[in-house]
Amino acid sequence: MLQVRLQAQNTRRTITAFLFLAIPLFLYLAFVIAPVFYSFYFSFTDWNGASATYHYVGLRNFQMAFHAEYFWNALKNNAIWTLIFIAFPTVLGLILAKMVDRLRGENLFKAIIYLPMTFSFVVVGLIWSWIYLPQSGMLNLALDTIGLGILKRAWLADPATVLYAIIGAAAWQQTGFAMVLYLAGLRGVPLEVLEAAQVDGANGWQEFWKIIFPLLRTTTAVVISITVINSLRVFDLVYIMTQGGPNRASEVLGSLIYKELFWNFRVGYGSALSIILFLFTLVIIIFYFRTVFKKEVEY
Amino acid sequence: MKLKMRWCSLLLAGILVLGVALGALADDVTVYHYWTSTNWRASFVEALGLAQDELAAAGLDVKIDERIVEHEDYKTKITLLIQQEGTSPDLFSYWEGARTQFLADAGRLYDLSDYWAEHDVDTVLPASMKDAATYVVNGQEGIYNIPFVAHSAVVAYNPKIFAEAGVKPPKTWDEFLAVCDAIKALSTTTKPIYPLFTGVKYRWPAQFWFDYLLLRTAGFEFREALMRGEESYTDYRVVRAFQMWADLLKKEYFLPGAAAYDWQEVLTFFLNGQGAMYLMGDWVFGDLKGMGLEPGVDYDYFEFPMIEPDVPQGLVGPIDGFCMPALSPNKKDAFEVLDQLLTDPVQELYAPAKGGLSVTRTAKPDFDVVMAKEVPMVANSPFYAFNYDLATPPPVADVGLNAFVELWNNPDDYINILVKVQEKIGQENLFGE
Repeated sequence: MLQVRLQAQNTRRTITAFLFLAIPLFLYLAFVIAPVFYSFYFSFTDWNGASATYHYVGLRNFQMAFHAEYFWNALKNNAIWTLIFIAFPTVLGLILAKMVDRLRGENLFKAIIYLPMTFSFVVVGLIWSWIYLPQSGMLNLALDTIGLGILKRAWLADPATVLYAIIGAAAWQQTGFAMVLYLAGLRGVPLEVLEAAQVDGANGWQEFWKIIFPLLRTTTAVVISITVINSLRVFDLVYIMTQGGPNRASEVLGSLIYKELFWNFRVGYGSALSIILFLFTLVIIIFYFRTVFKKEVEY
Repeated sequence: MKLKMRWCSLLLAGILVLGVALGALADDVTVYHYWTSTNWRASFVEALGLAQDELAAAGLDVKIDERIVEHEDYKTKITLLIQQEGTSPDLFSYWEGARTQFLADAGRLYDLSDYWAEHDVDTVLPASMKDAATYVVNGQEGIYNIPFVAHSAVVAYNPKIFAEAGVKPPKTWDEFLAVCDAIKALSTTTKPIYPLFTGVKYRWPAQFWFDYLLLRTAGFEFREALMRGEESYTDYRVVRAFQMWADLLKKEYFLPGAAAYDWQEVLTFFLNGQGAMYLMGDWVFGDLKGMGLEPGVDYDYFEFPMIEPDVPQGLVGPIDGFCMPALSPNKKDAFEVLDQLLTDPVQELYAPAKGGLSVTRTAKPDFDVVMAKEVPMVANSPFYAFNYDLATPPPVADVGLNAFVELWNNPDDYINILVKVQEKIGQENLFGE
């Protein structure tokens, strides 16, 4: 009798849980999952986004993408973005986290470094567009002031510098995010392990490289995975600062997809590009989840 | 307490629903536009106010609901809005030419031919405007975009810099080059002065250079054929236009770093007395006046100079008009609003503020000394061509605009750039079947 009552109670709880989940799940399916399938469907058509009719074109859109020089150019720019992001904001985030961890006034430093993350991409793009202005921008004026006027450039107008200039703006924002994740990771490092290492005569560098860094492996994998995913799906900053110009020098897959969908009215082709991007990102996400749920290093 | 909260929530929800319902019942005519510059919008809102007053005086209970979207985002957003019944406006401003053709071909626009006939628009607008408003869709002619204000691309110039250089507005290409040299000679390291300036961050401002160089050398018919895909970008006439453009760039007449500025940001150089000549649509006059500059004193304009004496010297520019979506919910009242937009008071109010010309036969706007010169210029022009990104299909315009910016950075590579344009058009069949 008691068992029956317990079972009924459990069933009620399960149903209640599903009822609570029903609406958000429906919204998630309708606004996140369904559009993915929709994009997949349209990637095999020649729909222009406005007509009521379209035709099935098979794999033509995908073939066009892989044969298009500007597609590989955008992919190359995403790859550059990813490599720089792994190297700089990630490493800098780790260094800053180590410096700030348990420091007096830690919260103040954390707040200052994290502050750019609170700005929207639009604000970041506008701020840095003004900083990079060739004639009156802060960067060129500063270079002039310190006697390095020879380094002045039209940062966003020069195809040689534009991509790196935008990545610089993005890195300024992203570093705080990496720092916060690493700070959380550092808090998970057992103090007794560090004390034991000190007793054994390990210096600061040895402590970091042989104890702390291995213990931060999961955190590092998370940071890198999120960094790579963000690098692949970057759009806002590029659109605000240059719209992918000049002449596609700063074009990334996100801005290319946007243009094909909404400027050139080639929804079928744009959908094919977005599916390609989705597949690249999926590989990273699978790696991310496998790493997050992997058994961690233990001492 | 809980019961009270529940009743309050229900009451609030009820008020909201009632408000929406009442809003839906009102005879609103929703009008979307992209004229975001402060004085443009203010003038357009004032013009709509005039229109609404006239409608009220005529006993029509029509409320005009003005909605605005930023210029660059508008090109995307409006295409989405007009496709759904719940979001479709009744009227929306749009550019005559390839963009209207695209929407008309897609079946998203209402054919206004009956409106034109029933409301005697022929007596209001000249024949040239009817030509601009007429499109062929599925082999049938129809009217899909009622012209509202016409613009021309001209060379705005700073008279003070001209006076300092001792030059006058040029009429021929050789005179133009001489003016550029004279102004370039004024430049110093502390105050650089650029004979020519523009901002190509959003690409489209570059098109006017291509348009005029091609039209002044190859003529209207060839250019129209190129826009339709019947001529090649590697044709010697296109190559010549690009070469002339490349020469201007290599002579460093242009403001460096043009891709870092949009078309309005770059006006700073005009204001600072560092930029002498700006090839741009005459809507820039609305901005310059809004910045407090005095027409005829602080700014003026001249027509793009003649290059080949035997080639007719026409004008390039967009015509802004109003389209009605096929899903417009309140067509009957929207027709009344369209009538009002074509009345003299509305035209005379808005055209000067926008820096354009009124489109009607009888409107006589009180133009300033600069805009007043445009009226005979347009009237005497042998032809009127839409600018590049309105004259050719959007995917082709995308390729072309990229090529213009690429030329800006690599003027020596002009032939290769054109070869790549033609290849891309062919490979991706950008002109369609």
